[in-house]
Amino acid sequence: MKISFEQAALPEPEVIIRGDLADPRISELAAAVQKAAGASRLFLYRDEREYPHDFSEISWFETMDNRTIAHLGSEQYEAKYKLYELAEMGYRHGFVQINKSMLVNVRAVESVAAEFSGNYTAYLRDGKTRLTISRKYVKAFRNYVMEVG
Amino acid sequence: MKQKIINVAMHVIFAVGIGAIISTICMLCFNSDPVVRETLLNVAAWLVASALYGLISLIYDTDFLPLPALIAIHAGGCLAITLVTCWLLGYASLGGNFFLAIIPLFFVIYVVISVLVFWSEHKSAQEVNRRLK
Repeated sequence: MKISFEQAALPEPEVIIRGDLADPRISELAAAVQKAAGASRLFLYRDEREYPHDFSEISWFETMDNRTIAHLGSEQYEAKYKLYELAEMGYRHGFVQINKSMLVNVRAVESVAAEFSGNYTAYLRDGKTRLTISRKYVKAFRNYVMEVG
Repeated sequence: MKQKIINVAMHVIFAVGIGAIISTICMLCFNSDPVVRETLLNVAAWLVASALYGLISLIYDTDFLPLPALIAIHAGGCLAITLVTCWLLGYASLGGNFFLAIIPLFFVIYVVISVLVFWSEHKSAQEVNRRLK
């Protein structure tokens, strides 16, 4: 891989990646750059194609069979990140971990209900999705909503 | 405003907890009246039991056990702590009535506290919902 640097008078640093966009090394590089830049856009994948999406468009992430799935309305895409990486990247965009395999966008949550088990159920704004906020993560979710959300 | 009131209440509750522990220890150290010492020993024993109830409640922070198992472990653990504390304090002198007196009372208090905790969670969820809107 060839790496070049170019001096330029720009208001903010610019990163251009040239090459075969299907090359997995490019995806890894793009992911690392996005993570470092704290970008609000995320590259998601479906049918071996790449789709840039804003964090705000994503309702929730879940890990399934070692893959991380992003849910945008009724559509599903794959994200090439681990859940903990998305938790770090997505925190300032409203994402909070709600159980060991899910992150939810707080802005996509319409309401919550406490269960006798100590878990909460989160009802999303799409009117049909219900997610479980497990006991272990209830406090972090509540604190995020009350202090940041 | 409500958050400030809750914050003040939490500080007061925390201070009462610390104060109860410190004052009990001080009175145990400096009070020689046998009747007062007996009472203080009871208070100290129940303070220790309360700390153990708190520790066993940490089990609810885990996700690896189903709820019925958690309740069984928690209720069983709390009952064991209660019975041992009662026994150490000499309540066993009640004779055959010991278990009959302690166990029903324990479960009544356990259910009342569980309902209060659920009610508090329900109110907390309502607070979150207000914020989400």
